[in-house]
Amino acid sequence: MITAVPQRALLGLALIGGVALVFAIATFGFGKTFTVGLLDPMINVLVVLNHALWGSFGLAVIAFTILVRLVTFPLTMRQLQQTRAMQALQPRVQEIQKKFTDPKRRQEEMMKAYREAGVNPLGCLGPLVLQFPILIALFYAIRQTLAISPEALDNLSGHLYSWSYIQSAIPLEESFIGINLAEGASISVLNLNLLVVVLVGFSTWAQSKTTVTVATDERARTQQQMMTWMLPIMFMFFGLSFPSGVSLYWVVTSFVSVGLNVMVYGFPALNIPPLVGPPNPPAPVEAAASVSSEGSGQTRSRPSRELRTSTHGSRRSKRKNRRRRA
Amino acid sequence: MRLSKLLIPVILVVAVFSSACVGFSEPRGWAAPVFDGETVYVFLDRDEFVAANLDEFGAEWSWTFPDDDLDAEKEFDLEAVYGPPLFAGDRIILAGFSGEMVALGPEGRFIAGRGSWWRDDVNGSIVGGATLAGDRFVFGTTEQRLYVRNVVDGGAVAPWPIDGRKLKGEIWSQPVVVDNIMYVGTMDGNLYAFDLESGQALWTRPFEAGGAIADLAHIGDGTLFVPTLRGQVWLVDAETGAALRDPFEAEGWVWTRPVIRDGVAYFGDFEDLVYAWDMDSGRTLWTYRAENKVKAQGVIIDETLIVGDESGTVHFVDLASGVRRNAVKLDGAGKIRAGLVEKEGFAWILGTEGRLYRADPATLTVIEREVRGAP
Repeated sequence: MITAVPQRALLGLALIGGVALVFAIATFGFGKTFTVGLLDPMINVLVVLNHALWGSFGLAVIAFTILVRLVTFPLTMRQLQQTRAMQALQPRVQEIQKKFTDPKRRQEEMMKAYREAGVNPLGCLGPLVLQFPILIALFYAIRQTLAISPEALDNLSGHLYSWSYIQSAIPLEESFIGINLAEGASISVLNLNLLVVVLVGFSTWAQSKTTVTVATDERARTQQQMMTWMLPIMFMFFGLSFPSGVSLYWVVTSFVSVGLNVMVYGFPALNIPPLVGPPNPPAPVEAAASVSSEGSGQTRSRPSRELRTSTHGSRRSKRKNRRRRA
Repeated sequence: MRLSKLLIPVILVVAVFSSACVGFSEPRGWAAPVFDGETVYVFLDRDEFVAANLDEFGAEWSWTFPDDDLDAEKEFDLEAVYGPPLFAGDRIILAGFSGEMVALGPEGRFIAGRGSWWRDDVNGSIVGGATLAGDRFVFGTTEQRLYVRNVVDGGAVAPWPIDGRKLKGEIWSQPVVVDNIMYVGTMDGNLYAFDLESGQALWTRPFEAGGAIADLAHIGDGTLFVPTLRGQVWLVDAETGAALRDPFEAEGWVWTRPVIRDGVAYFGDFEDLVYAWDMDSGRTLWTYRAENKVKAQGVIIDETLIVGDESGTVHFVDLASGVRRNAVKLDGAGKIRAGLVEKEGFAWILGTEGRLYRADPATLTVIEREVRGAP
């Protein structure tokens, strides 16, 4: 079973990385740090992959996207599992929201519930934020490497390492199975570039459909449903103006996300169960399902239907339930 | 936490980054200025082609193409121009990165309709510009096509097909024509020679340079100067297509033409170096470190080599020793990518911001020569 990387190790790495990053930014500035630390290595790996994969930049983009997703896999898994845990906690969150009218008290109870369930409400945000610079750099790297103009090729020279293996690979072939990776698409021209834009929309939609929603009320759910359609349209719009190489990256990374989503959340519409178990030790049922009575300070326990679902059930909970029944 | 609250800022950030990305590598062009008597022709901004009359203060604007006030010219979009304009009799031929070509009258005016003045679209982008060869002109495109057209109406010249001859690699360099033989380098590292009249290849097989050929020059005595983006520079026999000696190994990409004096080639590379290469002995006489990449072809005036780099700095270098005599940073010039042009003892420099400068090797100074009155 795939489990999250131990939290302490992640925290340690994040701390070291954070200190190094702050030091680099303070010394060299943000732009230089971003370029030297992320953009340049990515561009050079892309060029090396292109050279190794028979001079096909399309294959290089696909391989590189998968490579990056592999490197960021622990972060992605942590984000997905935190999101799933958040979802599982929603019934209790709703209960707290109904029960407590005092915002301060409500917040305290919510935090308590999160703590008891071993969920960090920002846990799904952190890995996403950490991945974001990587995704932005990747985006720039593909655009830069494609060198869609003489100026771009001139600029590219400043990003390449001086190894002859890399130097001799320039310029890169823009065509990939009939797709011109350096050019965008036009609605008025039916070609494979336009097909890539359609795939951008489809893969973004598929990604949204396989993502677990963390909504506490009907309004939020409606918003999320709207986003399921808005996002693909927006990314298709981007895809029309961007070189198809960038769109290809988006298609591949979206399909990888779909695979990971199905692996972690399952896909009920097709009766696909989750392949990966919950990340954290399960919370005790009494603790997870207990809600303090407002004003009394007393705690009452009652079974929580939502927390006994297969995604949140646990041996420990069952054992406690058996004890309670006995 | 509501997912939509998370998604909206993420989308906004993506949108901001995305919109920023759109412009960072857009073509702007780097065509060098051209002088004809007291008139200078210069691209001040992308495809804004301007003629101006030189005077003691700079230059007085004369006309611009395309003129947005004229309906016939509104629709033109050369996008950016990298090669020099061609002067064929009383017409000026411009070749744009958009793949559009246009012939203008003496006052820079386009007159619609093929026959007298014409416009044409070709397959791919034109980077290196066109070369005049008698009553024909030749150029290549990024779609690997090589075109030979006549200057009268831009039509095809037999036996060259109207939609160009397909080569194996993209053509970024400006073709070279010597004695009715056309030489053209491709980005897959091959150098071709064709007879303009018959269209036949001159050599049994193309010369393989081992790196992308983005520029090309004929340096006299039947010798071609073939720089590559791999950092090697070859001297190739124009008649046989054979290398005349081992290649020169530069530190970085060489994407420029050399300036030649007494058998020595002076040129720069993308590792900020300028070289003096004795082509007879193969020795490097000296190297000079500039501030940035050297894309622009330099000029020699008296005993001074003048080069510009991509930091916008003009360097005055002693020709014999390679020692810096002076370096002047041009504020607001942008990058110097267009080749420098020598006129009456001065070097003329065009920056990517469309500002024109004049370097004086006698005083080692550079002053801006403003094009006044341009709309």
